[in-house]
Amino acid sequence: MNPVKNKNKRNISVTVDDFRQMGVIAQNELRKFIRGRKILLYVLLIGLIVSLNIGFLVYYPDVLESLTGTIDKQDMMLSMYGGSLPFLILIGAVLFASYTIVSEFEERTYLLLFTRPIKKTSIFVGKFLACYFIVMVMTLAYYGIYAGHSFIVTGAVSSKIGLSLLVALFDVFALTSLAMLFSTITKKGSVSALMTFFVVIMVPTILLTLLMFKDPTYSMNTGYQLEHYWYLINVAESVIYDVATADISLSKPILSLFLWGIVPLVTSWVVFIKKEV
Amino acid sequence: MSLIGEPIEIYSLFKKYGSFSAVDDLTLKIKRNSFTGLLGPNGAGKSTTLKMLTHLINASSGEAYINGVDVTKDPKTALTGVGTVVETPEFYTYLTPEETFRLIGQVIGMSSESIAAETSSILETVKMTEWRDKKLGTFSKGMRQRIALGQAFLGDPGIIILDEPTSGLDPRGMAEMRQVLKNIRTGRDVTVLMSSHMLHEVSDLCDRVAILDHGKLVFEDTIDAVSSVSGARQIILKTIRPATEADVSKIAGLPGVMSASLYGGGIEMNVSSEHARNPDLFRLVGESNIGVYEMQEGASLESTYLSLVKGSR
Repeated sequence: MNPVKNKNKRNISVTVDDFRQMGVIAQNELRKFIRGRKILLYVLLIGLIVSLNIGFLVYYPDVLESLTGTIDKQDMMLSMYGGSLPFLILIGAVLFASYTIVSEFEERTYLLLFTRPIKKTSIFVGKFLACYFIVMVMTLAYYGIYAGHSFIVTGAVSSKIGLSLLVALFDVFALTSLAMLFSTITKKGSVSALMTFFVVIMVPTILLTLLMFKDPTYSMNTGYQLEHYWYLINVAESVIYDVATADISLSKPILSLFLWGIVPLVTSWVVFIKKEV
Repeated sequence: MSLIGEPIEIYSLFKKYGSFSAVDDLTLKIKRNSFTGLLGPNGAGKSTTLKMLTHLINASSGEAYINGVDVTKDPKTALTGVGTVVETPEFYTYLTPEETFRLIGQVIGMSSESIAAETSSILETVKMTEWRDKKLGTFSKGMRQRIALGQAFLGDPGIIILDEPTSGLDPRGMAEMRQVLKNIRTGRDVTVLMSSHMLHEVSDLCDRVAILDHGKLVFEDTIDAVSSVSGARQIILKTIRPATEADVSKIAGLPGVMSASLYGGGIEMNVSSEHARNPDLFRLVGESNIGVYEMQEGASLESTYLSLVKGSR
């Protein structure tokens, strides 16, 4: 006799219990980040960039004094700090998100976790939230350092800091999602990290160069690039620092970064829940 | 919960990779509170079956019920109340056993108080109490496997699924693990399904056996019923000194002995049923001068196994 069949079909609803499990997974992931050496490396890297920014203004204070026109000193400092952010966010995404899924298979810990009564979606979301959170916290800390430095040097903080931060948080979303995608589809963490670097740095640069040759009216001007090439991730990212010194509409870059985030994230989730071992 | 009796029920389960069927129309019921050994040669479909039961892979077709819930349709509900050790799992090396148990306990929805209470008794059971606060990254394979078994006990599961739990362990590790497994049902209402390719391990631990070959079930019954299939009995000869290959040759040459091999310092011999109680055989064993001080008789799993899977390599 067949047993009474459970009426639930493949359940895609999310319950309170699922949220609790997502929290447990995210918490464990954050513990991994904090106890590992990667966080130390990341903090050192941020410290190095901050030191360079501080050192530059200590040795060349005239840079801010020589500004003319409508650019304020605090805006210039925000642009200077923001210039390193796409790189720092990329490093954060690679250090944490590029390894988050693939490491479960490389280190065979999936045999412990995936055989438990937990939806794969809860594991995926928990890991994504942890990766996003750690890079976001570092980004916020970086803006905090800028604000402190700017206040000490100029007595003020740029009024554009909120706009720059908003774009930066969308960039964190885009790069974390891309890194998660490669972490899901590759079999080695190192390959996942390389793929993330390649797609974020090399591909848009090559594409932009090709487009430049095809476009007779090509201009390096931020407004022109955002008007015509807003869909390239490096163009959208440039708004993080350019918004401090130019009047830029954020709608296109934010849409671009949202798409660069949501498409890989959904693809990654679908691949992950169908993945067999 | 299921309205029917058996905690694990598999109906017409298939796992296909292209035209190859790793599991081929498998129907199997695991009796409540039994310790069932899942045997079969390499590639027979043991691990694939257990991976489908633990939702590591999806079935191509068929149904697999755990406590009445089809794991192919609702794995989260089906796996509630199931403890698992699949292959040799690795642990998060930055965690201690205590933290690992807390993580798993939280995932399966236990309260902090229950986790703390169970952690101590489980670590005692798997003899890892003194290592509770050491990072798992420093543990030997045997120690990690005992922790793996321990985490499967969390939440007092009604079903425990083990996939070759002693695989890859050294002899001491195997012996320690088997000792823990022997006591696995002490004080617990638990059904255990364990895959293994070690016949003596299954003989030693299990009360039922299911044999797979080419993805199909070829035998399923109690260990005691095995002899009626093979027409053979297994007799373990315990010796006062470690037996040697020469001793094995002497025993293998005796009338009625179908095969003999070294077994735990003594000798395991498979004897045809008609010779199993023949006094002449035991007299000849005594006269063989290999120092036998005790004989234990059981069903010959090896003979049954070999006769059922003889077509496999």
